Amino acid sequence: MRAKLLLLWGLLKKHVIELKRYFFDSLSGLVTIYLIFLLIFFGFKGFVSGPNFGNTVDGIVVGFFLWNFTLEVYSELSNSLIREARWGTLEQLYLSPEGFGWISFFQVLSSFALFFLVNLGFLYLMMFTTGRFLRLKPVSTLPIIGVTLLGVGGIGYFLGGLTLVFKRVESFLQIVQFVFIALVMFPLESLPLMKYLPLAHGADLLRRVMVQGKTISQLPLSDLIFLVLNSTIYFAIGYGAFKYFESIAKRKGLLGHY
Amino acid sequence: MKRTSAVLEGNRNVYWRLTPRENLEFFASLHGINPAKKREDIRKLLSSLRLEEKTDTPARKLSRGMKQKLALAAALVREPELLLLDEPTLGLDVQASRDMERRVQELAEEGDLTILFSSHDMDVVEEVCDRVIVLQEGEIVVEDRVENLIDLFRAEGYSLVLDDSLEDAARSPLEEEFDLSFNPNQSEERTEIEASLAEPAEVYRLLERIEEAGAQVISLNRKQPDLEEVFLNIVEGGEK
Repeated sequence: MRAKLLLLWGLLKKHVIELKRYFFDSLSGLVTIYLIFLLIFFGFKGFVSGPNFGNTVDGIVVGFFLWNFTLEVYSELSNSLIREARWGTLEQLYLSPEGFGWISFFQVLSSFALFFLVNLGFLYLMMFTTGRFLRLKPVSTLPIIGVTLLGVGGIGYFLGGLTLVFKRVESFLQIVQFVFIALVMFPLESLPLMKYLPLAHGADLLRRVMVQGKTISQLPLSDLIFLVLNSTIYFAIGYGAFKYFESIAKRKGLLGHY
Repeated sequence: MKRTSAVLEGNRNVYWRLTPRENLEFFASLHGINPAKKREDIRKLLSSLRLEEKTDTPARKLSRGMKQKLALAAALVREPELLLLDEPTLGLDVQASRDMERRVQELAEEGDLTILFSSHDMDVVEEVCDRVIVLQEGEIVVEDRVENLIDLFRAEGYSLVLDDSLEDAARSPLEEEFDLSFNPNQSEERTEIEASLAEPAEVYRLLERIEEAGAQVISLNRKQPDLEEVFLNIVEGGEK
């Protein structure tokens, strides 16, 4: 237990140092996302008007808020694996007696904790831009965001495992980021089957809370259970696949290659 | 094995974005060691590898040799029981390579720590290692102590130079009695001989016979095989 806490603390400290030292690198990603947001927002403004406009814009803002979290979790698992392999530090992480599973989990956890504040700021930036303010309701939103990201973690692990074995999949990883934006933005009413995919159902619930003002207890229990099941299954499959790819990579001595 | 550390081939192994101190603190925490309690050890470790001036410089600004020494420090801060060193001196300048060797040798002598050292540099291996395993195409060809291996090939090899060119008539009885090879490119007034004898005492008999043949010995050298020769013998011969 003590060793795990030390590990978490060590990873958190490393994150803070890297964030501080490479502040502008970290910022440039957010600036890009903000530009995409502006593009969509103003593009939308040109096409849509009338009573629905406000709600749709709110939906977009919620979508971007969740998408940011999604990218953070996802890239912490997939891109960071590429980075560490390239740096030659991946094998070093694998030597830890705590096991790589815990390391990657704590890595996501610590980066999420740090990114949380940044993304909250980003949310306010978007709200100022649109001039419409959403309900934050942390008691309702945080659990939904957390469980939704669990499913995203599954995808991150799956693709991270792929990169261990197949290496050059970077461009594919980037495309997946834009698949995520579709999953986050698409209104479920027009294509209900999408809720079987990861992320979409969670995004829908989050919109119901942040835009329509529901609390988590006002949401149908069946919807919440479905979210938990969906995320757990995606996570289990993703993590299982990761362990499988990892064993292949270890057997073939591919861990350190990039 | 709970505590294993490694310095793997190439000048990677550490976070280039972090300073040496931050690297060591991070790697300590990776192995359940509280870095706050290791401050003094970390300082000593860095100064023992002559990195103290670079303690707070991001690792990417360090030279290749310094990065490699930092990697060793990062491995040691984890208080390992087994330390894997994969070509740790490859591509280093002479000074860094010496620092590295010296530190590894000290570690080996301090005990407690098992070091698995892989290298193509037989001089370093001979200097640093106790036991050697020679691998060929993934198979273990030889596993023994360094001095045993060198003894094995010491094989009482001598090289002699005589002041006269021996007649064939004088050569053949010598060749019958001993395992000799004459250098065919020698000059007129000399004879160069490579002898490998069954036991050290035979050298006296050989000298007697040479005297009887009427030649004088100018020089006599016992050949000192080093690990590199031993290695080549093993690998080329396929077996000992």
